[in-house]
Parts: sequence; C-alpha cells; structure tokens
Amino acid sequence: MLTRQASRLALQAGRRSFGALPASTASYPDYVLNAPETSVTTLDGGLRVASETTIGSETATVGVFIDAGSRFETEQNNGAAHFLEHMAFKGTTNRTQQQLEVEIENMGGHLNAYTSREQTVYFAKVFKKDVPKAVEILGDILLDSKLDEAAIDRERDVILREMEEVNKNQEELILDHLHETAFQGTGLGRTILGPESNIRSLTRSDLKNYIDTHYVAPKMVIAGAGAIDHGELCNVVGDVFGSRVKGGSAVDFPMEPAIFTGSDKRVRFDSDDKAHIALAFEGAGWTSEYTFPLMVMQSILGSWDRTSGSGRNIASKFGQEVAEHELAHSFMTFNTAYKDTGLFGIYAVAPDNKLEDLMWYMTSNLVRIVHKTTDEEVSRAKTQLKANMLMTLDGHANVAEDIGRQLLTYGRRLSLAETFARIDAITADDVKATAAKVVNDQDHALAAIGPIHGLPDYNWIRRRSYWLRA
Amino acid sequence: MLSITRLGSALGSALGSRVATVTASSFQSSRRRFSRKTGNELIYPNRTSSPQITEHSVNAGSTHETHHEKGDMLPPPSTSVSLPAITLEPLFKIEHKGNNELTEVQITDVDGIQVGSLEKSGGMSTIGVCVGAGSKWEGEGTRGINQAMELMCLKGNQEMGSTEIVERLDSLGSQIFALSSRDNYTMSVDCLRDNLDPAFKLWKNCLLDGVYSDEEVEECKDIMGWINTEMMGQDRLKEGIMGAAYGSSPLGNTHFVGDERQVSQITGARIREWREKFFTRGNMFIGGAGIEHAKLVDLVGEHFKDVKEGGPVESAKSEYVGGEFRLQEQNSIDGLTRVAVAFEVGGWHDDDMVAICVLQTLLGGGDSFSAGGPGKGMYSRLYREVLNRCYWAEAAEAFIMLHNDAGIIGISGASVPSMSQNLTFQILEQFAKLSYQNVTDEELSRAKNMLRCNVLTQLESRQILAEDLVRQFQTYGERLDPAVICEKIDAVTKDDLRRIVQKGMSKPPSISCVGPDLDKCPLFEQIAHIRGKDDLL
Repeated sequence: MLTRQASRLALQAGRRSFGALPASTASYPDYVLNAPETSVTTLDGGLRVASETTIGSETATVGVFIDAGSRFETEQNNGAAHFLEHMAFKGTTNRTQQQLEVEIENMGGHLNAYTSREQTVYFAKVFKKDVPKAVEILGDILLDSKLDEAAIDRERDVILREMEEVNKNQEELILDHLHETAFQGTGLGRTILGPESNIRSLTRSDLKNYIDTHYVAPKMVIAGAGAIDHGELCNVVGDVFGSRVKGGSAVDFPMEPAIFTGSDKRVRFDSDDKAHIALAFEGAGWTSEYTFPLMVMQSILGSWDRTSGSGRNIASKFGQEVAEHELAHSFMTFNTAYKDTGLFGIYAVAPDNKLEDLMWYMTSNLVRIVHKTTDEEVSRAKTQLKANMLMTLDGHANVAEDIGRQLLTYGRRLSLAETFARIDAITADDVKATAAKVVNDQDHALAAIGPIHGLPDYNWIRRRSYWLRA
Repeated sequence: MLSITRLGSALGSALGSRVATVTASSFQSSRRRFSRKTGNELIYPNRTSSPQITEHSVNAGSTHETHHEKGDMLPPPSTSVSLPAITLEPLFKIEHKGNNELTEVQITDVDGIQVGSLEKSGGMSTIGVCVGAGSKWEGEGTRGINQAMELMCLKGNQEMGSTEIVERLDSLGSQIFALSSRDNYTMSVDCLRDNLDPAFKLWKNCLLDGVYSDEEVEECKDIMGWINTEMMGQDRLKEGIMGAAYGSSPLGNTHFVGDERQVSQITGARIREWREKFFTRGNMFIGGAGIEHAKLVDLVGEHFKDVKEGGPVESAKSEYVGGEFRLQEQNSIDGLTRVAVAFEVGGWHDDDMVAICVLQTLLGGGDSFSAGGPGKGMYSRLYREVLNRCYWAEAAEAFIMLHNDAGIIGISGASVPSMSQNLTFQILEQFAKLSYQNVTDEELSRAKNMLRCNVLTQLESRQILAEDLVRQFQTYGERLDPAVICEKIDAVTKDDLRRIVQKGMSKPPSISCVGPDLDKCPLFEQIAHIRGKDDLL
C-alpha cells in the first residue's frame, strides 16, 4: 500500500539521485492503475487534443485552454485578454449574441470562460450528443468573434462594474497588490482586468492583434472529460480548428521573464475593521523540482478559519497558535505557480491590535520548516495533499481543467501513479531544503490593506526570515 | 495543483482568475451607467476616505539592510532536494488495468439497514448516511437539537476527544460533513481508498458515539447564537417563509434556533436521547460512491451491528396555511429589502414533483449582475420579464422547498426599499400569468433540457452521488435511475405547469419580507385574496 511505499522510499532518500522514485508501478493498488488514461493527439500545426473518458456518463465538458493571459500583455494593452473574453460572448460573424445565448440555453448547455495571468480558458458543459456542437461553438467564438465597435464600447462599463465587484473582495484585491509589488515592472505584476484607462481606451485592433498573436495552434489545447470519444473529438476539432488556427512552434513566442523584487505595498484605511495581509516569498515554477515539496509545505502550514467547524483542533502548528492567541480571524497558505516562478506565502485577515504578534508567529512558523520539520508532519501533509488533489478531480469540469492545465504547464498529463510516486518520495529533508531555498534569509513581498498602523516594517519582517545561532 | 488558483472548486471559480462572462441585465448598461466611479473609488470601493498608500522596494534602495545579525545566522540543516523536476518524459510507463466503473447501483439489506453503492474510478471514496430525523420533529425542550448535532459532529466520544478525531481525520486525508434539515440528517465521509477502514470507523464514531459533554454543548450554544445573529438576509427570508407557509405545524418550526430560552434547554442527555430514538436500523440509509459494494456491506455489518432496531418516527402532518413573516433588519449590509412570495405545491411524493422542478427552472432568474455565461438561465422567465425590464430589480430567482408531505414554490427578489411594493406585485404577476397563459414550446423545451443537464452534471460528482443515493433511499425507499428521472422530465406538459400554479393559487400566498425598511412591502391582508389575473388588474 502507499503508506508502506512511502516509508521504504524514505530510507533510500539519502541518495542524491532519482533513485528515490520507483521504476515501475507494480507496488500500486488497483485503483491507481484503474485511473482512466488521458489520450493525447497532436494535430498538424501543433494543436493538441487531450481527453479522458468516463464510462456510462451522459455529459461532458470540453474546453479550449490557451497559453496566454495577462502576463503576456504590455503596459499599453494590459486587460486585452480579459476584454477579449467578454467580447467572445457578444456575437460572431455567424451568430448574433442572442442567437449564441439562446442556442446554448436551449440545448441545456453551459458556456463559460476565465482568464488568469498565464492562461485563458473557454469551456462548455453539454450532453454527450452535443459535444461536436460545443466544439463548433467554441471555435466560432474564439476564431470568428465579431468584435463590433459599438459592443466594445458598451462592454467597457460592464468591465468597470466588474472591477468594482472584484475589488470589493479584499482577498482578490490583496493578491493583485501582492503581484503588483512582487513582480513590479514585469508582466506578472499587472492585473488581469487591466487599469481603468486601458479598459476605457482599448480598441478593436488591440483585441484583434491579441487574437492573432496568441490564439495559435501550438499555444492551444482542447481538453475534454466525461462522455468523450477521443477519436471523434480529434476529428471534430480537426474540422473546426484545423485549417483556421495558425500553426508554428511554441518557441516563437518570447515571454518577458518575471523578476521577483523584495518589496511591500501598504494601503492604510484606519476606519476598516479588519486588516488583510499577504506575506509571500518567491516560490517555484510549474516544473521545478521544488514544486511538489512546496505543496507539502503548504499543507503543513495549512489554513484556518474561526467560523469553521474544526475550531481550535487543527493539525497545523501555526493554526493552533493563531487560534490559541486569537491572532487572526482566518488565514490560508497559498502556493501559486507560474512558468518560471511562483509565490509562496500566507494570507491572513486579522484585528488591528494583534498584527505584530501575528507577523512574529507567521515568520517563525515559516522558518521553523527550515529547521524543525518532522517526519510525522510530512507524512500527514503528503496524505492530505493526495486527498486534496483527488478531491478536486470530482466532476468532469474539474478533470477537463486538470488535463488542460497540465498540458499547458507540464506539456503532458501526469498519471496518478506518477503524481503519487512524486509525493511519496518527498522526505522531511526535502521539505527543509525547500524551505531553506524559498524562505531562509530571503527577501519577501508583502501587501496589506486596512487598519495596518501596527504592522511591523519591512526590515523587522526581513530580519525574521532566518534564525540566529542559540 | 494545490496552488492558490486551485482552491476554487469548479472551472472558472478559481481564485486568481477572472471569469469574463459577467453579464449585466437590463440588456447591458443602457439604463445603468456603471462608469461614474473612477480611480480609487473603483479600486477601493465602499469607503468614504482616501487611503494612505506606501510602497517600498529592496532594489529601489528605499529599504536598507539593517538586519546586521546575519553573521550569526543558524545554517539550514538541509539544502538540496533529492527529487526530479517534471520533464516531458514520464517517470515510468503505466500499464492501465482497465476501468472498474459500474453504472448500476447495487443494494443490500444489512440486518435492516439499506446499503446502496456505485463503484467509480479514482482514489477517493465517499460514504454517507441519511437518517429520518430533523427539526420538524422538534418540540418544547428539543428545539435546535438537530442543528446542535450538526455543529458537534466532530466532538469527542468515549474512545477519543475531539482534538484527536480531527487530527486523525487529517492524517487519513479524510473529511466529515454533516447537514441537518427539517426532514433528515445526513453525514458523509470522504477519504482516500487506502484509509477506508479507519476512516469508516471514525465516521461511525462521530455519527453514533458522541458523548456531548457539558462544555461542548455550552460552546455549541454560543455558536448557535452567533450563527443566528450573523444570518444573512437571504437565509432569514427563506426561514421566514416556512413559518409563513406552515404556521404552527411541524414544517413551520425554525431550523436555526436562536431564542435563548429554547437553546438553553438543549443538554447532552437530551441529544443522546434524541439519537437513541431516531438513529435506529430501520430509520437509517447508508450509501457509497467510489467503493466496492461488498466492501461497504462488510464495513456496515461490522461497525453497525450494535445499532438498535427501529423504524421511521411518525410526525404530525404539516398543513399549508399561508401567511406572512416580516423582519426589519437593524444592520442591513446592502440596504436592500428582500421579498419572497410562495404558493403551495406537492412534496417529494407528489406525482407532479418533476413538473415542479421544471417550473422552477423555467422561471429561473438570479442576480441582476452576476458571473456565468449562457446556461445560467439568462433566457429564463425572470431574467426576460423582470431583471431585464425592471431597472430597480437587483435580484429575482425562483426557489422550491420540497418536503415529504408538503412543498412550496416561490420567487424571491431584492430591491431598494422604496420599490418593494412593485417587486411584490411583479412576483405575483409572474405566478398569475402562469395560471392563465400556457408557456411556449420553446421555453418548456429549454427548461427541460436545462434541468436534465443540471441533474446529470451534478451526478458527475462522487460526493453528490453519495448524498443523492441516501436521500432518495430515505425519501422513496429506492433510488430512481437518472434515466428514469430524465424520462419523467420529458413527459412534463405545459398543462401540468398551468395546473400546478392554478392549484397553488387556490390557497392564499405566503409572503416573507426582510430589510431595513418594510413600509412599502404589502401586508399579508392586502394580498391574501389574490388568486389570479383578475385580482391584479
């Protein structure tokens, strides 16, 4: 069983080689090997089609995952990726906005999209029989969007209203501020919606240029899950997208590197009732050897909310201390990966009179991982990590997203067995070494909003990124 | 993977991404101009003052290295990882063993407990139970007891304390969820397959062996009081309409009890007594998803052998009466007044149950400004005829509350207080119209497709599947195959819908109003006579 596997690997981990990972899957239980296979086909021009079939299912999710998001924009066109998505639903050369909406609603389907810093995703949830139709509609809204000037002008107001709604959510706002300061002056520092001035001024040709540059075959993956026949999916994708998306090589699209800058941004509103604070260190990119140990670190630090059922009883040491000393209303550990970098840290919502204590416990728990991680907590975190990963794969939409994202970030879908093997191989020493690299004596980035008059300054926190000799 | 962008569950709700298909009703902003706000008002909304913003960066030199003690830094004990990066080459070749999924539910009677399960692929199992116990059975001395049990679902038993239970669950990669309602009590456990045995045992301990110490019960009462004060307007509205609809009969009981006198009567002994009475063999249904049926049968046989015999507990029948609930909120968050109007329909056992669900989907609705693209019901009645036409309508959404022997269908909405009379009459007009005018073929077929798709999409989820299994067992004594439900959806006619509304409107409405100012909300006595179109002219 897996737990046994883990302890055997732990003994071997002293060797600094890949020998810590099993060479075969013989030792895995059936359910790991019974996991459905992901079929991947690369069409001419470089467009990839990937899918996983659920037997007996009557519904499917199919999505287009594009290796493009706000980080690939410039100061002048920041917000274009997101604006474009709004416009994708506003009519094509073949369908008016109303025709598109009615068609989807009448067939009982769902059509949606989102933009993140590195990815743009359009997806449809439909009945089995409507999968070809869904692919055709996705192709239509992506490749034949009308981008009507009057509709663009109307949409500016909707996006500004959305901006206001997004910013009412302090968690969203603080993570935007964190990126802005941590990756200042680079693409990753810009927001997804873009600045107000761009939302008011982006033109049809800005959007058109964005499509021409980024919606190209090698940067796109069509992913499906549920009632999908891979061969049929490839055929219909070939018909709809094949001749119409530009081919090429993925290397043709240079990316502005992300540079992490130790820094902070503090927005003081003394009249707010809660302080929101995000402290982050530079994490790791998607494919880094530190990726999986960082996930374990994230599990060890955990998250906690005063209103959640578990009350004070949580396994995370930091969580226990926060609860015991009433340092915060809630906190969560985050670990966001990008192509070449990442952000690892803790976001907390706290009362204004506890901020110094909160930062003391927060930094000391981060540095504690460098020195005092135990085998027991690593083993618990690994089990939780596996469970959390599997829990998020509940439902076709989640599976399709996992397939699409892994193809864009890893270039392939990791089998469940490989994912588990990578987690099993992690030792307490690996976690300590990861924390040593990410946290120990490193510059941090911090964003804070609210009544933060009592929040310690940059150097106070920086000084606590390492421990002194006893 | 477990990054911040993955904490949101489904596609698009992911944190760190912006769902683009936000739509504004009123056919975009022709009547509403959203762009009046600029600059800091957009970035820091809902504040009256300007922020003090400071920025420092290490590179810019505005922050100096003053942490001179670095020379004495404790060196890290470990500095390199022994793990490979992720490359295009798989670590090893997988030999897939084929798929173990089943499509049919298997059912076994384990000494009086019905056990049903469906095998799914994947490394997680979900097991759930549904007990025929809920707040409709509560009375003097036991009010709030179901909510208390839900809140204390992870509390200690004779074997171990609460802290240890939570720690064990964590180390097994397991989670336990409990949910109490008026009709039933469900509790499920989600766990890694490897840890099925210990997780099942923990779950059973949490379900049947809690001791409910005085200290735990007192802490729980505090939380119940707090939940009651923090309850959102929308939830109060729905609680209120149950009282309005059923008066003093069992379904009229509030589920969330905040009254101090009533809460004070809850004791550990009373909870244990309650459990003895309701949590019996014949009143309990166990279901699993992502588990081998034989394995589940074994686990139930082993761990539930000491559970007492027993069967469903009778409750007095709930009579629909119609009436009103009005609550003036002291501290409204958004300043909006919420109104819900509902009429009587049948319950879970009614022949029209599926048609009632179609009716709800056809009415649809939602918020005037919301995320989600086509498929959320943007061409449903309430979007087309209320949200897109009435600039002042902030929300309008159909709801159903179905129970074993009774049910209601209603529409809830929100507006500024000055428009709440218009809102109430808009809602009444929607019902009246359905009572005399047939729906169109197009909207009926759309509603059926949407409902079918929603049912099937929901059942993709292992957790929802397990819950659906046990609830259906508890309600119907069997599980309807999704295909059968889809056939029933197909069979619904427009006459069914008109008939359901006509019948509902033959009795007085139920109305619930919650908001900072209720002056403009009609009183029950002003609308109690409304039975159709003629009464609205």
